[in-house]
Amino acid sequence: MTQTEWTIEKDEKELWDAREFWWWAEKKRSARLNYLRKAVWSKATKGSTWLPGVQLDLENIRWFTRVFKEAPASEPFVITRAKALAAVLDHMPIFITDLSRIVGYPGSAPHLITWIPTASYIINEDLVNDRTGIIPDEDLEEAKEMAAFWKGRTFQDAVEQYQSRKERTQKLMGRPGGTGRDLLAFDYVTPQPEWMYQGFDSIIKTIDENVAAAQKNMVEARTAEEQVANIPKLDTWNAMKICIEAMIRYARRFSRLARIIAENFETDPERRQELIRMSEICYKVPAQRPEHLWEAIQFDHFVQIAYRLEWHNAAWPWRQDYWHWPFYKKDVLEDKIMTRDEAIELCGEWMIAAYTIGKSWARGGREALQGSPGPYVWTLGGLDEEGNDACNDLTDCYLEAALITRVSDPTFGFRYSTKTRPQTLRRVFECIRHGLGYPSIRNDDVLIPNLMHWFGHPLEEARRWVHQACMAPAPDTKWGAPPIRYPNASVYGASLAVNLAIFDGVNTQSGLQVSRKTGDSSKFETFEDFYNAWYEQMKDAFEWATSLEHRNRQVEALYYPKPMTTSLYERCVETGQNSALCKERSSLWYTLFSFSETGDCLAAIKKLVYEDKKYTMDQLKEALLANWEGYEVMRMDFVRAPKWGNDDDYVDQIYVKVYEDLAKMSWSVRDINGQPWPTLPESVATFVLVASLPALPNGRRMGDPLYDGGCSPGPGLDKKGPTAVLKSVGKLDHVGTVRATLLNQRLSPTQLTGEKGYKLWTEYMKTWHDLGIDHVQFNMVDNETLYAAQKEPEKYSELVVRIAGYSAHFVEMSRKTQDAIIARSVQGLG
Amino acid sequence: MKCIHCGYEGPVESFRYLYNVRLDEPTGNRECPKCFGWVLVDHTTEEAAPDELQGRVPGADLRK
Repeated sequence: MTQTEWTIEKDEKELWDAREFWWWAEKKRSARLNYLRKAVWSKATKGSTWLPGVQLDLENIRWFTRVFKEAPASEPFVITRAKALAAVLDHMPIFITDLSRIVGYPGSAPHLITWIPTASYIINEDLVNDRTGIIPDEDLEEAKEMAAFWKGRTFQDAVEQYQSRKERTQKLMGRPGGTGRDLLAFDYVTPQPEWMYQGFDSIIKTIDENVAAAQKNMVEARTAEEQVANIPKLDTWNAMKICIEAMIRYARRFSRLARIIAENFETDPERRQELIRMSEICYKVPAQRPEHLWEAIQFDHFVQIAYRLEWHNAAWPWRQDYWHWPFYKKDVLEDKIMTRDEAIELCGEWMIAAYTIGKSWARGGREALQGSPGPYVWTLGGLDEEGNDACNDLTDCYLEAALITRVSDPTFGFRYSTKTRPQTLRRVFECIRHGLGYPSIRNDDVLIPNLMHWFGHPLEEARRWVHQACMAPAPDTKWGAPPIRYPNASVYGASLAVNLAIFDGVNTQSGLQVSRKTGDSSKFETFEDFYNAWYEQMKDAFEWATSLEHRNRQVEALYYPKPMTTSLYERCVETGQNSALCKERSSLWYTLFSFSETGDCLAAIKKLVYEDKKYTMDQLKEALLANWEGYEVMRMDFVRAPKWGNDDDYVDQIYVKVYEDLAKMSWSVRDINGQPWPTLPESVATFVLVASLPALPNGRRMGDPLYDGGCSPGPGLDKKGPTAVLKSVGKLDHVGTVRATLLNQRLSPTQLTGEKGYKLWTEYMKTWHDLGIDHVQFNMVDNETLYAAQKEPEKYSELVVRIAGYSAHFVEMSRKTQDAIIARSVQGLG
Repeated sequence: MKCIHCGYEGPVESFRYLYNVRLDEPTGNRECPKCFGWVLVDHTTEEAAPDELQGRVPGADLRK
């Protein structure tokens, strides 16, 4: 008898008691959800490699190539791009998965990932040179020809014309990461729900009116400015209309397909009725306003498909429980045309539909988010515009759906406040206790003031925030909803700045002078001298990356606009400007990936080099260049220096100063709107991806993972318990110094069983909230389970863990990432 | 130092350093140049760690 058969034979209670929640979920969910959940082709990557069987879909690149080849030379780019997207939507094969009620997929088959050819020639070349079989042999020559056609035509080509040779070289080689808009080529698109839900027919009507008025104005205008002003606007409006008309046609293809299946093939009368209802819904949305929960979900899903066929979208900034509450209320509570259980099943089905979606993005991005096809962080809970608790029964439905679907994407970010109702908080805890690693918990009483502080969002607008990706909040309003991924200006391995300060701006791995010269550190007389050099190194990367991002956005605005995305912003339809040109009230951020060891490095240098004078800077340089090989005793001295997360003011006050100086840096550069660039220390899986960083003064060797969060202590270095961690992190100003920062914690699953466990956790959360910390997320899976999953991965395929900002199936990650998660300290509460 | 898999003997530097997930422990994974097997090495003694620790994640306590 196999392990699988044995566990399935347990009843629900036995599985629950054994904390085998993945089998419990399988028993608990409906036959429909069970089928759909098991039918998923996961688009997560292991390292940077897609799982067996997943392949590239050539439909998108084929139609884009054909349309761009045939386009008249005089046709504006935005029109050609719209026509290409329309061709994909009109011709790409579509399918309806058995038993599903939510349709639409950005690809022609469920195991395929769409290929966006317009993004980056490096991505295109990487895909055709991939040796894992993601392009079928019979299609490889055609794929190579199409990739060759796009060389010189991608967004990356466009922006590189405005980068110096040094910048192009540095971003590829010299820097540990850096700007990503052209290389990573993905965005986080937050919609404006009130605009979107009016229906596409209504948007088209507005566009038609604007076009008519502009044409009249152009002819009748008496000044040159007025005569020419509408030319680019007309192109933009016409391109928008091409896209959203095509989206309506795409949805109606599903309407026809559902009806064909119902009338000709389906033998089950219940399913036949369901297909007919699906046909009606797909005819109605997105053309018209949704009126029921099912229609709203289908509407949203179509919008996501549209985004994802136009461009890589890495995130899914959505707030379902808030946006869909009126539909749920009407269907479930008032008209009673749907039961609560049916609503949970529908929410779960949507989660599974989202989980199937991946993207053919850059290898570095795949590795940084290994184990995840997203990250799709859906926002739940929080305050409404008036400041009342926005949690509702639909919030609870999503949390309950998560328990039974157990997908690693989407995950939830839960907006916590003192007003959060207990029954919802209980369900949040249950998700965490089931080992999902989500929801991550966000402090509304910190993040709302944070949005107002940095960007001047009005209070009501700030209260409307959704997660842009893993962490950063931004409003979903007319002038607040962002169309792009801000942190394309980011730095991977931000802790390298310490190393650059030691070696005067030289990357010791490449030997290149990658950053500004800040002086020979051997001659620094005080720690302040060294600290100032570190700050200059931080600023160098910051100024470089933000400058490139300013240019990247302007290139998109002028030469590479996205008409589909543009059409879903009221401000864009109103002004006739594309989504990159028509500026929202920015909610910028500059991500400091793998930054949190910085203070530990600085503290060790301060103590051992400048105060105790046990080692000279030259000795430290030698040890680092040797990767600590042969310097084990010295390395352990640096490891034993004061470490973050132990409520030790020696090191904590260094972190406080670092964060204060990050804030100064943030205000020193403004984007084109005049907005500052606050930093956001976090890590996703970069703590493993950038393990190639050279040795650091906290005792880390090249190859070792970095700390796993934005403000998380190093694995095992937080030795004084969870309260000490919170006290250290609570010393930071989470409103005025950074945009957000990520705290990972591991809790003991055995300790948190039953009512006592819930009480312990709520007390912990109260302390966390009162200390003014903006984020925390939990892993609650024991080491025995994780070890067992390493040994017999086939038996633990559904085991989900939290990485940093997203969750992933444990067995789909690299061994190093698994080991780093196991090594995190398990904190006992109480 | 001796490989626990194939018996290859050589200086610790000849085993390629891979990683150690816990800075506060002297152990780390290295790769044998002959058989490419992973060996958990104690860097204070520059020898392979005891058999019962091989394949384990440094610092992880199975009792938790």
